[in-house]
This record gives sequence, structure tokens and C-alpha cells, in this order.
Amino acid sequence: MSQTTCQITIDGNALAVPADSSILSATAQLGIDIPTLCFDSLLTPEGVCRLCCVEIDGMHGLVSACSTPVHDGMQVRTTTAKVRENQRLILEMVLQNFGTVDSNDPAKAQYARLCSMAQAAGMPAADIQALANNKKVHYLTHHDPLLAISAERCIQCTRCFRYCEYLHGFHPSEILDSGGVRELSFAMGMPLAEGQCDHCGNCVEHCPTGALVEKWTVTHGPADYEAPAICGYCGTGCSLQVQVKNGVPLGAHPDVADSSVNQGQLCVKGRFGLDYVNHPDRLTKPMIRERQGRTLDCFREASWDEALDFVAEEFRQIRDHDGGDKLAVLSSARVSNEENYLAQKLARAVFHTNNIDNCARICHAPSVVGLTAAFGSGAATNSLDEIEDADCIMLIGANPTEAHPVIGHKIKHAVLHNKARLVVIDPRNIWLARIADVHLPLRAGTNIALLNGILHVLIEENLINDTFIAARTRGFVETKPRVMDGYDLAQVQAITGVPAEQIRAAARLYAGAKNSMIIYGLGITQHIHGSSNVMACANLALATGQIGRKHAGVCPLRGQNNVQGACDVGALPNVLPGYQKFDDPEAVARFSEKWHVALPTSTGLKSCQMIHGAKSGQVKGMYIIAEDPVQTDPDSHLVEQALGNLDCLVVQELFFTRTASFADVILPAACALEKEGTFTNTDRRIQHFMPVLAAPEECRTDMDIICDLARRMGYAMRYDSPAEIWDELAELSPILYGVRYARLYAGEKLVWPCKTKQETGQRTLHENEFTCGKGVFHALDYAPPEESTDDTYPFLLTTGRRLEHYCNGAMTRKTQGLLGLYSHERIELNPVDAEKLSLTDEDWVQVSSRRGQIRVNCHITTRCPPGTVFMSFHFAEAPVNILTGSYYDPLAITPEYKVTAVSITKS
Amino acid sequence: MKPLPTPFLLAGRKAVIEAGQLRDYYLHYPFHALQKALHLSPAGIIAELKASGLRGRGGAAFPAGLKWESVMQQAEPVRYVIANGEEGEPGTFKDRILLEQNPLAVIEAMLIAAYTVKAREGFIYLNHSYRQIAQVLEQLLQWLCEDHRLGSNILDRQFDFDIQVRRGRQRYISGEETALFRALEGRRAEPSSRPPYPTEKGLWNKPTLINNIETLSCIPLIIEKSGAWFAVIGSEGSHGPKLFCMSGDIKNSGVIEATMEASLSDLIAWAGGTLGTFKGAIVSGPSGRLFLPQDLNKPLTIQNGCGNGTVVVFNDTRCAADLARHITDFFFAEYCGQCLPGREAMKQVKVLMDNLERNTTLAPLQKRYGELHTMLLNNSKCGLCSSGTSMAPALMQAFPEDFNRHLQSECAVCGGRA
Repeated sequence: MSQTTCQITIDGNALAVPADSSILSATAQLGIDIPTLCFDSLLTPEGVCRLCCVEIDGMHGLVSACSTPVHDGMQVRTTTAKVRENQRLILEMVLQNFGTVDSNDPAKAQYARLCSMAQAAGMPAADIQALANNKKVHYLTHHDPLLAISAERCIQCTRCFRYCEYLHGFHPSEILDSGGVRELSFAMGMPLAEGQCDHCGNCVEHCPTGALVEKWTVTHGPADYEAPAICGYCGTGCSLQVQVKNGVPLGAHPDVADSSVNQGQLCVKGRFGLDYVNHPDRLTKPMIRERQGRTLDCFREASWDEALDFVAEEFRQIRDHDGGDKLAVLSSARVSNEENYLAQKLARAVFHTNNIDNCARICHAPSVVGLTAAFGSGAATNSLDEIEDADCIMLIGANPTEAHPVIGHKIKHAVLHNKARLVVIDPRNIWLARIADVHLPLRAGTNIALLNGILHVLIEENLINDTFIAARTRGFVETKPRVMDGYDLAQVQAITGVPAEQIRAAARLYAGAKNSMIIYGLGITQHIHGSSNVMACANLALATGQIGRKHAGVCPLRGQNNVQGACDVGALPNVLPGYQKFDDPEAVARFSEKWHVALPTSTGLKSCQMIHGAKSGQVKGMYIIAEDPVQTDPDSHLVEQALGNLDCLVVQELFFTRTASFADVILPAACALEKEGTFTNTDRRIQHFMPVLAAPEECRTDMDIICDLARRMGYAMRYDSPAEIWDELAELSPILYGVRYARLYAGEKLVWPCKTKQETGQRTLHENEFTCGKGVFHALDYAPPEESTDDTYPFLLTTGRRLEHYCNGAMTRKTQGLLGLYSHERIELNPVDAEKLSLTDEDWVQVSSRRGQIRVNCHITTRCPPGTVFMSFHFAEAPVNILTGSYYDPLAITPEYKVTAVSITKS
Repeated sequence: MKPLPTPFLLAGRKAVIEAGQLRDYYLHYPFHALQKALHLSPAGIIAELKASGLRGRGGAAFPAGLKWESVMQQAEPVRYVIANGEEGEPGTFKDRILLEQNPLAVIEAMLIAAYTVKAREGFIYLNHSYRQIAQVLEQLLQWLCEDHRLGSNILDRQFDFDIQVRRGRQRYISGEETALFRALEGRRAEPSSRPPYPTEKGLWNKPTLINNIETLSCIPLIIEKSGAWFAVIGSEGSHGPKLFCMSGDIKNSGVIEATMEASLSDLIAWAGGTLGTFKGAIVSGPSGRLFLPQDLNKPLTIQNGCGNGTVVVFNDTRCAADLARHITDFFFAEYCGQCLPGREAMKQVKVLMDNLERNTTLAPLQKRYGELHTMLLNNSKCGLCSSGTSMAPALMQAFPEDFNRHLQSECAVCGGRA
């Protein structure tokens, strides 16, 4: 488009504006405020509210400023009597339908805004008052579990679904229109929950009249106060403004600042899934198992003193008699950095063991191993903000629209609005596969073959970056023959089931784009070859040089809000905080000195080894903080046996989980909204949060509990605030040295590595040099997954997350709205398979693997290819991990959740 | 009674739809205008059009030459030509007659238009009910393709053009140009904001030449016989032959071809005279103008509001209040509801008319109706609602006694009551 400018005059002020700008944007340049309702800067203007109408000299009538482009010599008048009269008439029509607004009205804020617009247009306050005319408006609340709409207040500006179309590429809501009758309908008349709505709720933010609102604002009224927080669900790390009504966090609004991760967006869990905090099932008092005879065990409430003394005594006994290595701490990706630091300090300084791990083990430990081996640093190489301007995104084994919805939004935005190319590598037809340029539906567990096949194409078609390989990498010479000899596309097609031409297309897209990003999830890591899969991804980036600059790199999507942080602060068996190694005597000395103890020297157990250790007697006491291995670790029967075998199991939790039922002592903890601390999200951003609410009854923060326990075991662990803990950690860890609590508290946006107090950290890693010097290629060979299908177990089961739920469901299943959206687990299977088994939707089926069997409803969908079935692990009633096997990646000891051979029968 | 002028558009024509007639009609159609046009330059054709003084026959009377020129001058290379045969205006049926009697004139005009503005694709958009016409057109288009008068390299003149026939949904609004584009694009037929005008950004945001069927039917005449010949017919500013759709309380309803010099009384006389006593006539549809007995001798020129040439005559057995109510109901059913003032105002006028009998005096109602009409003129997104609210105030102005009768008791004429 030609970049000529137009000379126009607005209210007598001459100015030059680009030829294609609208009158509205031109007036904005002058700071003239024209009221609008249907206009939204992100969306194509529709000009339907007619409130922004202005007068143009020489034209009859008024024109809408938002949708009318300027032309040379245009004379615009924005304040004439005619314009004001029009504004008054329009606002009168809007306010007339608005009804009375009391202090509990969900649209209070929008009403105030409309009134101030009306006053600015010259409508007397008395007239505005008179329009309210005691008419009661109604919100329809039965259409949807989470949203409510008032037909009277809707002005049909269509912003809600224009925004939905903008964000999601489709809109499930629609205006029904037939002569004279016109109404907003959701999902073609279906309730939203049955339609395709994600319930991200972002449409609500865009409603100018408060016609579309969150349902809780109708049932409970607007919030008493709002307070900032960091979302406690996935690893995206969205900033929230939690809306608290009568002490209950009923919902949240997104942080709209550009510096926030989410930039005005949220997903259904973040926006609607917070009221679990006040669920009646919440544990509020310590409980001790009362052993009555052989069979009947029950829990009784205890005081904190009794419970902690009991725990301290038990743990001391084991430590002193059997040695610290008989104890293990399973820390959590759900608690803050400070608390994870304390947990590992408790293990190392008080228990004298390196048996400390967190749930990164069962998800992204292979990322740490693989990326460290390839690049020298085990974290995402780019920040999330860089996704939207990437030219090509290769998404492997991840379903971000469900598991990391806000990252999903960013990918959608990149593809739909920034013309990014998208390659999706996933066995299932996930949502993003719809808008992908290429979708490679590989057979589950054949990642290495496929990624090697892509590398084969890159080399064969000379799409590799020779200068980059020569200057910044090593190992290519060894890798090349392996890939060239063993992975020509015919072989790869045979192994993976993906047509050769598609593999070729994907390789060309990835290498051909200016900046390509690999984004991967647990589909890469939760395999027995998880670490190798990660290295195979890294190989692609190294071969094409698509790394080490903005918008190009390799990014794992970390699953939980603080799983990155838990690893960073040392809740791992093999490294000290800040990934410092035990073979670095200087580092070890520093910690010994600070903690006043000699550090344990034995190799620590990884979480899955702890479970096996518990079974074999190698571990006698376990302290589990906010984890539920019975439901989330593979082979639940084995986990149950192991936990039952422990002398002392302490579980620190919000709710009575399946793991808690095996505990000797249950300690009630405060949740993230009730404490202060920091979380580190998937792109290494360290974010500070303050308590939004007071913890209920006797719940104490994890920090408080751990310190108390340590003191009762004779170690002086005293901290007044998370600030002291963080600063001790920063002092001891070079990569976090510059990140000081005062800076986080002041709202600085810091990422690690941040080695001085002046810098804000490296958002993009490996820019000039890899952390390990040169990037390392790994020659990898494909080996089939541990389990394969046979006549008895003909289906491949793969597991993952649902949009509405999270982890073991402890939180999401305690929130009304989310449970209303997705109330029970259903195994997904292809219609072809369903027909063979003569199943219809919602039929009960029995799913069996070599380890056990479960009953579950089925859901027939083409999201799964024939032969593959999918389940989530959120529901204790359908515990999919009874089926999964305890086969582990040898390097990271991460279980293979993604491939289990199962049989399905109607039951 | 004046003699009826010589017909040109309908000269010697009869419906070609009847079986067996169509092939004959096709084989004998001369395409003189097209052949002549292909020897002219596009600029020459536009000059001819400008000289003819032809104005759009759909109601808005925009000079055809200017419209063609504007499309031709656009920078964007992809352009479209559309024949608007939606004809949803109540009482209008001239396009149907033209398409039934001389469809090839429309196609020939589209070919000339495509040659002039360098379009490669055209659409004939028809009213939902014109199914038979659509079939005839499809048949003709097929023959034309077979004879290389359509498709690629037409008549070896290195120009390509294709025409598709589409029938609309039964919606009044889809006759509005921009709504028609949306309908063709497969979207809800809703008007878009102007500017940009269709000549700049029309169908699929490309420059689009959209003309009424009658306007297009005039084109071959102009090209064949010259613009000057066309300009002589009729009066200053209202050149050329015009079809009038006569209906209502007259003896013979139907289409009459005349010049725009003809007065309303002439037209009524040619149609066999009024049944009963003439009370008034609605010209150019319910959104058009009201003609009263004192206007009977006014010529129906463009300046006097002949619009699309629809004349609905009503006699003294009709109640103006009933008429106003019908017209209000019609637009209430047909408004698109897209823009806020349109939607709200249409609801309000509907309530006003429904509650007519509850009023004690007419003045406040009349004032409010007028106010809403003025507001819509100023700010509504398209012209539908503003033109739809123009007739009722005019009726109130002209026949207050009819409305007053409703205020007091049961209306003796139409039977309406509170």
C-alpha cells in the first residue's frame, strides 16, 4: 500500500495522516476523545453503534469515524451540535435499555462509563437518571456454566464474537437474525459447553455494556476487591487480578500490561478456576493416622505441635538409626521458589540426604538432560513474547490450546495474524493441527525416527546452515552418516506412518523460514527415549542455525506454574541450587559454610526411584509436599504398595488426595493465593506474588511448616520472610545472583540467567555462544517404545491434559464452573475403532493394560487416529495411571506415559 | 389521453421463457451493440454513456457513465461486474419482465461492461423467487460459452469474462449493493459502511460495477444507437425510456414503457384508469414518495422522485393509517438490525404505530416518528431504515383525518381499533 499522507483538518486543526488511516485514529493523534462502543483497536471496525459519528463538510448526514478512511482535504468536525445530538440519542437508546443499576450490578463499571459519556455529550444528569426508569434487566444464567448474558443490555456490537474470531479463528457465538427478531446465540443455539467455546472469557473483557459477564458477577455481585497474583496452574505464568467477593476468589481478570506474560488474556482455569480455595473439603487441621487394629485406620485431628513433633520424632529416628538416605523429600512444582529451596535445604542440611526431587522428574527432566547436553542449559531458549513474531513454529508433542491455553493463543495469533507457518507433529488431530501448514500424525513413540527423517531431508536438500554448524557446533560429522544411512524417508515413513512428502514439506518450512521456533511438550519427554527426543529436536535447531537469536530456538512448555523454579532452586537430587554441581568443590564449600553442615555426598534418588525404593525398603520415611504420586505416577498399583510400605509418610496438602490416604500425618498447607513468594514460569521469568487472602483456620504456609519441622529436628532454620530466603539463594547461585527480592518486589520483570544486579537477565539464550561453548549434535538411533501393540492389547493409549482440568484434579474439580464444563473423564477413540467395538458415545468401556484395568466412558472423535486412544489423568474415578507402565528414560528417569498398549472392551 | 410513446426496451418482445422459444430467440439475437462496443475504446464507451445521460434505474439514479468510469480508473486489477436483479421493493416487477423478455440484452450489457472496466467475472444476482429466470439465464450462458461469446478469449478479442447466476435469500436488504456483496460472498446480507464505495471496494473488497437490470438493458440501445439518440428521449436530467410498474387500485396492472415526461395521470390513463376515486400513489416503493391528487400532472422525472418507477395507486376506500402501519411493519420485518440506531428506531416506530389508538392526539406521535426519521437520515449505517421511515410521516401529513379517526374509535374505513 502506498504510504502517502493526507492533509486533513479536524475541528480547525490541520494535520497530516497516512492515507489509509481512519478518522478515529486521526482524531486520536490530536488527543480528541470520540466516544465509541463497537470499536476495538484489535478488530476490523464495523461502524454499527454509530456513536463515533462525526460531521464532514460537504456530506449529508454523519459518518462513523471508526470505519471511514480519511481523504485529502477532508474537513472533520467532532463537536458540532449535530454530532453531540447524535451522541445523546445513541446513548439515550443504550441507557434506556440498561434498566436500573444498583450497587450489586455486574455491569456497574460499564454503566458508569456510559453515564460519563452521556454527560460529556451534554445530557443532563437528571435525564440520565430518568432513563433508568425502574426497569429490571435479566441475565440469562442457564445457558452456560460460566457466562451470563443480558439480552436487554446487549447492543449487538458483535465485539465479543469478532474478538473470538480474531483470537481463535472462529466464533462459537452468533447473532441469530430473522426479520425483526435478532438475538445473540451461543454455538448455534447449543450451550457453549457443548460447542467449541474454550471459555477463555476474553470476550467478556470486550463487552462495552456489560451485557456479557462472568456468571459469578450475576450470582454474587461484583468483587469486593481485586488483588494481583500469579496463576497457579500451568507453566505460562499469567498475571491475574483476583476478584474476591466475601472472602472467596470467585474469578480473575488478566493483567493487561504489555510487560505481563499474558497481555490481557487468560484461559478458563485462570479466569474461573480459583474458588477451590474455599471448598469445604479443604484440609484445615493437621491429621494423624490412628491405627486401630489391623484393618480399620482413620485420621484424627491433631494440634500442630503434636503433628510436627510426631513427624520430627519419626524422621529423626529413621535418620539417626538408618541414615539420612532412608529419608526422601518429594517437593512440588506448585509451591514457591523459596519453599522449594527450603525443601531441598531440609533434605540436605537436616535429613543429610540428596533424596530430594520434584515432579519435573515425571514431565520435563528429559528437557533438562537433553537441552543441557546439547546447549549447556536445560531451559527454554526464548521468551514467550517471541512466539508471536516467529516465522515458523514447529510444535511437537504439545497441545498448548488445552494445556497452556495462553501460549496457544500466542501461537494462534502468530499463525492467523502474523503469517507464521505452523508444523504440528502430534499423533492426534489437536486444534492447532487445523490451522497448521503441515500436520505430521506420527505413530506414538516414533519421534526420533521422524526427527531424524527431517534432519535427513535438511541434509539431503542442503537446507542446513554450514557456517553455523562449522562455527558454533560440534558432533555433526558423527551425526550426519547415522542420519543419512539409516533414515531415508521410505524407512521413516514405514516407522512413523507419516507420508514422506509431508516430512519433506515440514523440513522445508522449518529450514526455509527466517526465524523458526521449536515448541515441544510432554509428547517428546514422556518416553523411554525422552532425553534423546529432546536432543533430536536440538539437532534440528543446530543444523539450521535456528537458535541463539530472537524468535528462533527450542522451547519446552513446562507443565506447572513453578516447575522451572523448583529445578532452578535445587529441588533435584543431582544438583545444588542454580544447577551447581557436586563436583564443584567451591560451590559445595559455599553451601556448607552458609548452612553450617557438611553436604551429603551420596547420589540422591530420583522421584520414581524413591517410589521403587519405598517398595524395596531402601526408603523408610517420605515427606511429600503437594504431590499426588498415587494418581499421577505411572503404575498406580505399584505406587500404592510402595507408599503402604513406608514407616512414615508425611503429606502436606490442600485436599485429601489419594496419596494423602496413605499418609501417617497430613499437614494442611496454605495455597498460592494465601502466601507470598516467587514463581518461575516456563520462559525463566521470575515473578513475585503477594497473598490475596488469609489462609483458612489452621493452614500454614509451606515455608512456615518446613522451618518449624527443621527446628524441631534440631536445625536452626529461621526466616522472617520469603525475601530472606530468596536473597540467601541468590547469594549462593551465580545464575540468580542479580535477581534480588527487592527488585522482584518492586515489580521488575527479571529472567535468569541474571548474573549482576544491574541487568534484567537474558531473555534469549545462546546468542553468541552456547552455555557449554559449542552446541553438541547427538547421533541418535530410533528404538521402539517399551510396549507395543499385539493381539491382546491392540490399542496405543496416550495420555495428556484437558483444557478444563489440571493435574490430579484436586483444584479444578473443586471449582464449580470447571466441573460443569467437563464433569467426567472419557476415553477418546476414533469412530473406526468405535464401530469395530460397536460403541456409541458415552458407553462404558473397560480398558486393560498389562498392569491393570479401569472402567471409563468413551468419547468417539476423530481427534484420535485409528488405533490410538487418549485419556487424561485428572479424574481419580478413571485413574489412567493404573494402566501406564513404569518404564523409564535411562538418563532422566522419566516414565513413559505416552505409550501404553491397551485393550478395550464394552462393559 | 396522450398516446403511449414507442417502446424501445420492450419493443416487439414477448416472454421467451416459453418452451421452444428460447433457442430461436438466442439464435436471432444480433449482438450489434457488443460488436460495435468491441470496436470502441473503453473510454469511448464511457463517453457514449455520459453523453446519453443514463442514470441508474434502481432508485438512486446515479449517473451510469460516472460509475463505469470510476471502476475503470481503479488501480486494483481484479474487478467484478454485477447485475442487480434482487428487485425486492414491493410493487416492483420491471426487472422480471426485462429478464423474461430480453435477457440477452442484460448479458450483452454485462459483456460490454466487462470489456470497458476489464472485469473477468460477473454475477447476475436474482430475487429468490426468480427460479425460472435463473434456469433460462443458465441455459443462455451455456450456449454463449459454447459459441465463445463468454469464457476465455471472447470473439477472439483477447478478453475473458464469465458470468454466474445466483439467487438471493428472501430478504429485502440483500438488494442493497453492499449487502448483496456480502450475500454473494456467502455471508449474512448486511450493508457495509460507505465510503469506501463499491466502485473502490465492493465484492471481496475489489472494485465492482453493480448496475440494475433495467440500467443494463439500456446499455445496448445506447451503444447501438448512440448516446445522443438516447439523450433526446425524455426531459433534461431524465433521459431515456423508463419502465413503470403500475399496480394498486387501477384497472390494468402491469409494466408500461414510457418516457419520464409522462405524468402520473398519463400513466394511470394508460393503465386503464383508477378504480374508484384517486386518493394518492406511492411512487418508487414504500420508501419512496407520496403523490397526492394535486401531483397528478407532475411528470415522473428523476427530479420528481420517479425512483425505480414503481407506482402503487390507492383510492378513497383505503385508510392511510392502515397503509402507514403496513409499511412500518414491512420495514420492521426487513431491517437488518445491524446498527444500533436503526435497530432501536425501528422497534420504536413499530411500537408507535402499534399503539396508535392509545393516543389522544396525533401531533406527538407524528413528531416522534419524524424525529426518528431525521436521526436515521443522519446516523444510520445504510439507507434502509431512514428511507423506511419516510413514508409514514408523509401519510400523517397528508391524511391526518385518517389517523385521527383511529384515535377516537374504530376506524370505519379499515376496521382498525384500539
